Amino acid sequence: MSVFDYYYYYYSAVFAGYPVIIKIAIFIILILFSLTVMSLIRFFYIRHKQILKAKRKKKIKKIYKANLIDILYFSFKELSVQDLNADAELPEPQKKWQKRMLTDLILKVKSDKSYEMDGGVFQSYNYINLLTYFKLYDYWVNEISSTDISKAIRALRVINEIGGGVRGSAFSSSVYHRNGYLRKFARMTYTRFDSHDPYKFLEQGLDDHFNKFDEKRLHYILIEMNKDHPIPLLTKWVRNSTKENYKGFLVREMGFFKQYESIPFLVELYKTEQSILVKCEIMETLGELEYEPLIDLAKEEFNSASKPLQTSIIEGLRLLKSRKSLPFLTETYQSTQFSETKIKIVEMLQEFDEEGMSILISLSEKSSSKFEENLFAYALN
Amino acid sequence: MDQILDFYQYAIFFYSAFITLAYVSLAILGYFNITSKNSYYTEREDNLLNSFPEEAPGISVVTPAFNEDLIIIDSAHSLLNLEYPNFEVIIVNDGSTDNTLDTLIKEFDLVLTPFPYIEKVRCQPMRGIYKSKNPRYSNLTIVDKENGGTKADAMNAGVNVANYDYFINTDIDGLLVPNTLAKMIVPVLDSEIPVIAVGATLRMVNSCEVDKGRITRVRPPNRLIPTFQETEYLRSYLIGKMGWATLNAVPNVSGGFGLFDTNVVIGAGGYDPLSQAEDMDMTLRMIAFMRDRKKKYRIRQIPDTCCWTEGPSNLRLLYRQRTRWGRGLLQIFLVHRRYLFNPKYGRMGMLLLPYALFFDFLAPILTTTGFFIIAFLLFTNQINFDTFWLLLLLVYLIGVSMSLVAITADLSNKKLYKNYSEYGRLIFFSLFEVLLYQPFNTVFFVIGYGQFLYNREFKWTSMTRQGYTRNTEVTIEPEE
Repeated sequence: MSVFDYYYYYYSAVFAGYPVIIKIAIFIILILFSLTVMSLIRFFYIRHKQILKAKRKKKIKKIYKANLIDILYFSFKELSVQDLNADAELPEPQKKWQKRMLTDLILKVKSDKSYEMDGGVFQSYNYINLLTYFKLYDYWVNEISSTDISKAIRALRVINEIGGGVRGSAFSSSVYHRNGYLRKFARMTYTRFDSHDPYKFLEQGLDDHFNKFDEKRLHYILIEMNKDHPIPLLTKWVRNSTKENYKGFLVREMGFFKQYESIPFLVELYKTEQSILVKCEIMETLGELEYEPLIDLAKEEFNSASKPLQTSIIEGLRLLKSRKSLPFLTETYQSTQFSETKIKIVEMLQEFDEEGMSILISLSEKSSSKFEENLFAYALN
Repeated sequence: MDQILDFYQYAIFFYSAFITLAYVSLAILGYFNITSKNSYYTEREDNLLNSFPEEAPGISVVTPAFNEDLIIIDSAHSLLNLEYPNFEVIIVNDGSTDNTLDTLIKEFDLVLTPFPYIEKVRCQPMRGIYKSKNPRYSNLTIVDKENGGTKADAMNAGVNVANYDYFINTDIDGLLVPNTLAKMIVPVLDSEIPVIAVGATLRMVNSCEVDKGRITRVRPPNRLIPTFQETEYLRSYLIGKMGWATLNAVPNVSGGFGLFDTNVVIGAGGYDPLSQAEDMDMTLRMIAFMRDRKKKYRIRQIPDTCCWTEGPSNLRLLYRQRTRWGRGLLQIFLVHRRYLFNPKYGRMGMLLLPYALFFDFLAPILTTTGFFIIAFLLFTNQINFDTFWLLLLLVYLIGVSMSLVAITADLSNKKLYKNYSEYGRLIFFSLFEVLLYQPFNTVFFVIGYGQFLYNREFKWTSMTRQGYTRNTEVTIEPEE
């Protein structure tokens, strides 16, 4: 019997004789002790990883940075993949960490505007060929399909930052992933990069869990897409959508992209729509789209509207910037009971220069409370 | 007597076992929460808002100031220099008796401005609102008001003036990390369910180097008490709150730094000027407000260090801080007893508050009683030294293991100290925390309970600052 076995059986026998309380105590101590040891090991492991990462980063920078700056900004000639292949100072990265760090370095050089200030001109052709030569597209496309969610998300982030060279099929596994964050991000990236059916997911309402942050991301993607080809009229997707925040988002984007053709649709939708959120967006978008009859619509709707809708009606009129709305605003100021609405109207009137100012002065003469006195003193100051 | 002692010992043992179980569970939940946050939100997500200013939701940064003449300029500049496209800074001068207001007027070229003030939540009367003539500071508003005696009253004045749907509640001496606002708002946007508050990690600024309101070199505190407190904060934020956030049961969004939904705060009645723990009180009332209206809500916690604050550097200051916390905790249970064990309030009533009652509130009482009982048992030779060391080791390991988990979580989240030896310093001192820090903490809490029961009046006073390494060295003596 080995010494280990001897002590194992000895202490097992001793332990078996202890009361339950002591057994539990020993069990807890073992758990806490293991946690302490595991944390210490993890501390040193993280330290090792971070030091290694810093060293590797330095190494990649040393090998590639000067050449990358030269190729991307100061070569002033188009370099093909073959040209790059012939350059002995540009070894192809073999390991995964090399590819990750090289991508980071290329993106960092790309986003650094100081080279252009020094007389350099960004060479898009060379940039694409560099990524192809280093096989970085392939690497990141493979990473999208990784079973590790954090790796797949990072890959999508990089693909978006690289800005091209990926087909929609690359996202086939992640656009239906069960992790909502990854799935939505993949669908938006698909929308940005697929050349065959980019609007597939927009048509389907993008995702059941669409939220405000997705709105920001999708807004950015639509802007990028609009740079290449004007985006189609968004009305048909509003029609198909059942989710109110997605509908509201699309309505807002119609205003942002100045889709004047959508006005009749929006007016019609306003009449049938039940959601206050969507109605609010319609009012503001109609103002953004300079729809003059909005003033009549506002007159009809204002008194029966809820407070958020009233706020949106006034915001719509602010965006419309039409002098014809001044009588309505004056009347509304006098009839509303809400102090916040009064502040909004006064702020709007300030934007109409002399005409607005004269209305403000006439309203101020009728002010009946300390609040109104302050409000007009603030506006006319 | 023997039976009582036996019962007490068993009760304490199972109490410790449950605390361990709770801590280990929170540590596991916190770990997964931190890991997922790290993969979801990076600098690129923060930059998305900076790239589209028109899409960035507005945020009001509200900070009360009472007799802060010597630091007010640095602090105001630090807040105005935050990197976010759409924010305003509201400094509430809570009836300072020094030159706080004059200093601000001079530095920022302020003029008294008529303002359509709406009192949405109650506070002491406002004397005036100041705005800058310099367009560079167009997003700065100074609210001058009568002294309300508490931070809560000053916060209410700031909330009344706030223009945006979300506001940050912070202390004037807290230094915010430049990209804080984007970090705080992203979790709000990335949720289908309304997020009513977001918390982040607070750290000790003692010993850090600061230049013009920005931290240029992060260091662990070099004095003993702030060092212990640094580890204590890491445990509280990275294990406790990150763990609770997984269950949507964050008990308290810190009064030192947190983001809140303005309309929910107003709906819940604003900050309670009579509360000794206005932050926890506000958090609980916001939850109750949502549950009473059967509305869904989330309270989020992010692992990033967003605010650096000066911690008590000696026992006298620690005493002041902890007795206030003790008073506040007891007050919470008396004022909000209707939430406790009330299924109507969901996790707050059935999990969060019972946990706080048994493990936060009772712990100092049981520990103090335990100390006297051990002394009695020692005196009467009733201690079984064969097993005594084992139980002592258990209690010791609870603290040490959780500190190590928290320090490691912090390092894995982001390396803030320059050298690993500085993390080593935290680890080293965490070995002594149970012996050198916790006993004082415990006693101060119990004294705080006592003070509350004797109903002594407490007002907020100017903070005694030892000063970190910055341009303006400050030492103000307390008025208390």
